[in-house]
Amino acid sequence: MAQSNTEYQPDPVTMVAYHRALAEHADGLKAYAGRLLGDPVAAEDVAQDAFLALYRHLNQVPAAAYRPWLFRVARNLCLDQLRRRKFKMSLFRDLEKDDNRPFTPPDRSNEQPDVLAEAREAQDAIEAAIQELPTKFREAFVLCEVEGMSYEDAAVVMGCPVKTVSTRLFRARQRFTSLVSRLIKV
Amino acid sequence: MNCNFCRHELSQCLDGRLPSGRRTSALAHAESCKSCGEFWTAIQAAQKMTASLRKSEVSAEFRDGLWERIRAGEGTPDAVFPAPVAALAKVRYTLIGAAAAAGLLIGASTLQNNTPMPSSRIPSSQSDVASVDELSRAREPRIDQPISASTTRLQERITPPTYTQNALFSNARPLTLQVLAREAASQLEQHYEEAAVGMRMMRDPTHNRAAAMRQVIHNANEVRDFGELLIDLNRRDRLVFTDDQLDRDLNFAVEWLDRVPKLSDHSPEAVDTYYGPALSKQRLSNVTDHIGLRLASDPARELHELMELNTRRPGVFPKLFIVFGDMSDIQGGITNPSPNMLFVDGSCGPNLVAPRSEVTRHEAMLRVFGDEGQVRFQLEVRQGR
Repeated sequence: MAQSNTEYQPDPVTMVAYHRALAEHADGLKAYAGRLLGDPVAAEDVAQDAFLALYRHLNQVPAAAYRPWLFRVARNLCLDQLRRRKFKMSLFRDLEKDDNRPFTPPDRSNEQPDVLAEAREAQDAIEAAIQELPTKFREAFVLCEVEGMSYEDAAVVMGCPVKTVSTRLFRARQRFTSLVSRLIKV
Repeated sequence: MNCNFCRHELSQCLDGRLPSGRRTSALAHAESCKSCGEFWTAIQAAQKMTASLRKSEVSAEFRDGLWERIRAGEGTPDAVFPAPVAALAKVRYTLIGAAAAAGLLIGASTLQNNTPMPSSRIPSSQSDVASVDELSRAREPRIDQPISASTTRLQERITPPTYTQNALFSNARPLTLQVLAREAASQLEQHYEEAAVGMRMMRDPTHNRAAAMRQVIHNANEVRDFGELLIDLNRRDRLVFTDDQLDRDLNFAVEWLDRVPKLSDHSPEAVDTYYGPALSKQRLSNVTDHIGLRLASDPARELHELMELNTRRPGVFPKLFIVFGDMSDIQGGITNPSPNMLFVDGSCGPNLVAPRSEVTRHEAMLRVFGDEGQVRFQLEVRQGR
């Protein structure tokens, strides 16, 4: 059942900050969720859910913290969706009597170079490389490198120490550069 | 310098997070070491590439859908704040963890002593394997409520500030429904005039018709929004129209503009057909002289109504006022407080605002000076009438 905090009416100044957040962070939030979920439609729903949650908690979140708060909420929503997907996958596996097969995202590394070479779309190559990063590294990479978030804010979103963000970002960069060079040179 | 350490340093250097000493030594190593130099070049190139990524944009329906859900009173989705692990489960995990650790210790000491494992230990050892699995699940990061620190910061802000002792705020007037109504009327006039000018330009072949049509549509929509606000205030008995014809014209224009569909055909004829009748009501060019405003009897009721209006029309307030922020934002920053400044006593303390029409119409000066990293404002808002 959805939690309800619908009686609170934000004051006009808070609404200005909310509108500003909507204008500044909606696109980034959708992009972040899209890269975690790999599904732009679901990503937009996540972004909308996050802004709905923020509206219902405007009296609890200072305007300066809107951005990490929104991304943290979006992360929770994405992880929830990914868990559900994993559960659904396990149901299908039960039907197929293939219990031993581990859940892994489809490996597109073999087919991507051909597609990319034909399409010559560097953008797709970059997106594909981001998707190939392990989830934790991808998250740090998307937040800091793509969304330009500070290590401190990313640490709040990811729920880990700042030093961990730095390490994950470093590892992500190592993998990303090797992936991109391979894909682009092909 | 170790190459792996140097690359980690270079990664932080790319984000400007290294002190100059460490940066110099990391870059010096990158110059002398071929592989680290290549890594430095590669991560710089990768950063440029990611900067060139297509920007994902939310769809046109995103905002409408959001406001619809807010108005419908939809609550926060459950998954936003997943339920924390129950206390009993924590105890169970702890006990399982302790049992697993004890089992491992016993196993290790047994192996160290090179003594054969008693047969009675075997079932226990099997259960330990399962327990470690359980333990690893228990160690999965729990996703709890976001930013617990923000609550603390909020508590600090909730404490009512002594703004009456602050010259900036004590000189400002509180924002009331009267001020809101006057500002809405003033902006309605401005946008009506802009829309009327757009209509004339649209009919004149020497002008850029596309720009003129955009001007008409944008300003007509603003007329509708501010008109709705005035009509709402009229229904709340906070505003009266001293000219009955203006009352009828405004109601007609708002109702008409509210029914205009989203135009797929942006021809001058279509714009004229859909917007012309509403914009032909010339009384809309002078609203402020034909409205009377009733004073509030109860300040608490006043604030409540102000917030209610804002909730019903969340997009209108930012169009009416420029918000300069609260005391923490501007303390000591505004060197020349204007007597026309207003404040809104929101839930987080007073915020300084200025009516947008006065700022735009009279070219208020907002000078921003760099002062050793701190921003200082000099603000002047001239009285409109």
